[in-house]
Amino acid sequence: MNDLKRRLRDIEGFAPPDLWEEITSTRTRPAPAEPGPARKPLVVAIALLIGLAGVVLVVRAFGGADETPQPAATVENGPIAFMSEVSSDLYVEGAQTEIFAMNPDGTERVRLTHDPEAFDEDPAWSPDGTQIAFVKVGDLTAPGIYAMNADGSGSRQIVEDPTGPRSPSWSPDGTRIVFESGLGEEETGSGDRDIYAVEIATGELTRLTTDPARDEYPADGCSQGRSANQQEPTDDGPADRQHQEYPERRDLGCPPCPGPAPPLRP
Amino acid sequence: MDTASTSTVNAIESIYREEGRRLWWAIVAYAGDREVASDAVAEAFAQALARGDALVDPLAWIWRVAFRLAAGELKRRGQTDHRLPEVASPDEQRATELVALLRLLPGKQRAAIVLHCYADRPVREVALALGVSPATARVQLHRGRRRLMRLLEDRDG
Repeated sequence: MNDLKRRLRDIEGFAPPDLWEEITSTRTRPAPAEPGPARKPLVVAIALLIGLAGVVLVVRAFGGADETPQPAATVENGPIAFMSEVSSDLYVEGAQTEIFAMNPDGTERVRLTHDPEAFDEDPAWSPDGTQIAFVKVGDLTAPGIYAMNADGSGSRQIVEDPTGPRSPSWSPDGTRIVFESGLGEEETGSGDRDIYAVEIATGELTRLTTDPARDEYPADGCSQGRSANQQEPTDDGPADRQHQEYPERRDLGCPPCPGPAPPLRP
Repeated sequence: MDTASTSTVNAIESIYREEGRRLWWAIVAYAGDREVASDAVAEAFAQALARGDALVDPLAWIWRVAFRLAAGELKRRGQTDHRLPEVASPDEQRATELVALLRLLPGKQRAAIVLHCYADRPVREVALALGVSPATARVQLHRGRRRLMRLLEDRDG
């Protein structure tokens, strides 16, 4: 047991009451507001419809309306990028999340980022498979949207963003990245999240949504947003406790998608 | 209670017997108030019973709802009406000192630390309980951990 956990267990100096009798006799108030399990399928269906409509609209906006997205099964598979925790917990100094990649069959796992002072997350392949955009958050490294070459070299900040951006997604022509951010929070005081786009060459930032609702998970018409490859992260990781979360397949019906990236070399 | 089958009641009671104490301690650490913790834990378990078999993961749901109920109560009280426990033993003295230190952390950092570092809840559940993204939850954990360790070092000299 580490030192912080041991110290936190001092709270067990208080004697807890036995509440079971009270629990079984309680007349419950309305449940806290969140989608209940019975309503979740409907909520998910509506979200999928909205997401699909958004993908179609953005594809058309990028001039890709004549391109028919290829079914995933007909597109040659490329590498999978994903984030993984490199330690079993966050109270060990140096623990962080990093970006990894592997071949579609799970072989050739390669670590692409090595930043002990930051959390590197949310990888997204560029349409031509040569670049990976990702989110960097933390206290000691400038946070924001970053991009690097497919082999992990050439990491560079595209735009600084201390608000915990997420879900970067490339435009089909590879010239800009859309992402979710709270950058407008200071302007509006609303605390909500909106969708932004940054021009990769210039770093010019454009706010695409301004409504007070939370706008999340932008899809650029290429990467299909949160794809079917995104698995629910679990605690049941392999022995090294490295969790695989939010994998990003770059090859799911990408209009136009020049071709698969070369196999990974560890 | 009418909607809960015997098997559901048994399953929820089993969770309570195995996890109820730790949940109560976690919420005391977060809220700094035993009454808030007792109310939140009792209400979360009662809500779970009322939902019957509809909960896919009752344990995760109970943890999340209990923390949300406690956070809502703290917000209603304006964060200023903490009731310090009466100290009657050395163990309670240490617990009280820990609560005092945790209060120096912002609420989300405190909740993240308690949920993950004390209760071993995974980051994804921490994010759901806080209503933030996993990335933001990790940052809250990172900052909270560093701040709490610094406070502990200062206290210990």
